Amino acid sequence: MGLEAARFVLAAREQLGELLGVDSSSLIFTKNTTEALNLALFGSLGPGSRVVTGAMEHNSVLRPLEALRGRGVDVEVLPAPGGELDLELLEEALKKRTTMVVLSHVSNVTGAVLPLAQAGKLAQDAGALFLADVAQSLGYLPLNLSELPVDLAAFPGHKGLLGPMGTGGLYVRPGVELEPLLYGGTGSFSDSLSQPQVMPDRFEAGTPNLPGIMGLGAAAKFIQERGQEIHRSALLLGQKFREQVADLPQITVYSPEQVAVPVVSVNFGQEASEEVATILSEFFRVAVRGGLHCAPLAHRTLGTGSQGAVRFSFGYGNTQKDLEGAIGAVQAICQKL
Amino acid sequence: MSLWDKFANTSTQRALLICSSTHHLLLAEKVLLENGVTAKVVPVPGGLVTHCSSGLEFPPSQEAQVRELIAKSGIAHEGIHLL
Ligand SMILES: Cc1ncc(COP(=O)(O)O)c(C=O)c1O
Repeated sequence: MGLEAARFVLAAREQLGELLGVDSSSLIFTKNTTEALNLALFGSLGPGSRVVTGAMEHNSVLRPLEALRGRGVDVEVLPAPGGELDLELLEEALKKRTTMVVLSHVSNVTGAVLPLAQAGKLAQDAGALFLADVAQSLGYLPLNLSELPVDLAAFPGHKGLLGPMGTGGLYVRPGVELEPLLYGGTGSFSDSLSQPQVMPDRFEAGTPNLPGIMGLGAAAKFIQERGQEIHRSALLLGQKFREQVADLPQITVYSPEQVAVPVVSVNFGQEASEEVATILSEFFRVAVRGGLHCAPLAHRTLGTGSQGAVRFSFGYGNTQKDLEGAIGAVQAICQKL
Repeated sequence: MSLWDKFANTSTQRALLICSSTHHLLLAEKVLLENGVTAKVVPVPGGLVTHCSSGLEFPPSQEAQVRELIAKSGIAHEGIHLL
């Protein structure tokens, strides 16, 4: 990578550092949240270590953990009664010596917010590393990582930050030791055959995704300048949507009454969620996500392990007209049930 | 009658190709369309056991041609169902 290109990467990293309230050298660019989570999990867990997580997690946490279980890691998945994190269960689990606790900040199935600060404090007080999956919260909720009890945080560029698809990163609190996922050239310490220790080079071998990173930097700047305000209208639309569809007798709502991120998951009677999702798209031009949202244990917890749910997410750029279209479509489908 | 049929008004018999991933589904769509098969991505009806929620609908009269095309292109699939 040339000097000029490296300057663009630095500018993006600094912009992101400002947004997250952390030093830019503590941020590693990845291609998505999944890669960041894999780096954090495989980089710190091995035979004999123990990790605690919850049933609301995404497959990007559960699948690496299942693979690590096969390598001799003790994995405990806490039940999530009502889709919430039970701090007492976490405290109980931490009575056993634990290497790491990994939890998402916001459920991608229901939009429920987990008590990140309390969970992180419990983990750290018990001597465990705390890895936060902030895929669904970053950009929507205020998040100053240096003020939170968080050792590692995995994030996407492409969700709440409005950055390009295929970008993301991992925050590594200074002093936290991790093994790299990838080894290779970094343009630094080139006479050494060993991967350098210096951050962020240690975890960024190979040519970076320069166009993506520049886009992510621009997105971080945009959010930084406008603040969480930019998502206010989407939140309002989500809240109104939730209130209106909750009154329909055929609809079951799984999202909290108070919408904190603009995600509302519902089901239509006993209908398969994927079928409803395709009907919404084909006949009403309303784009939603049906199925299990890559979170099978979360759906089992909610009693929707086979039906899945229809998730409506409102975003930057959605309008009152979109809201009305979505509500009208829901009503029209309910009439045919 | 399924909810989908209430909206789609399908009265004639349909054939449904179930693929093993989105990559193979969309590859099959491309190959079939290029070869004159009227294929369309639709939801898989409940009751069919599959790991994929979408399938490719096509006229049952073209089944032999579809089987030949997907075999030739190495498309990973779980089966063809008549609905
Ligand atoms: C809670 C949660 N974690 C992780 C991920 C994976 O994110 P990415 O697609 O950036 O790898 C998602 C994405 O849907 C998510 O919602």
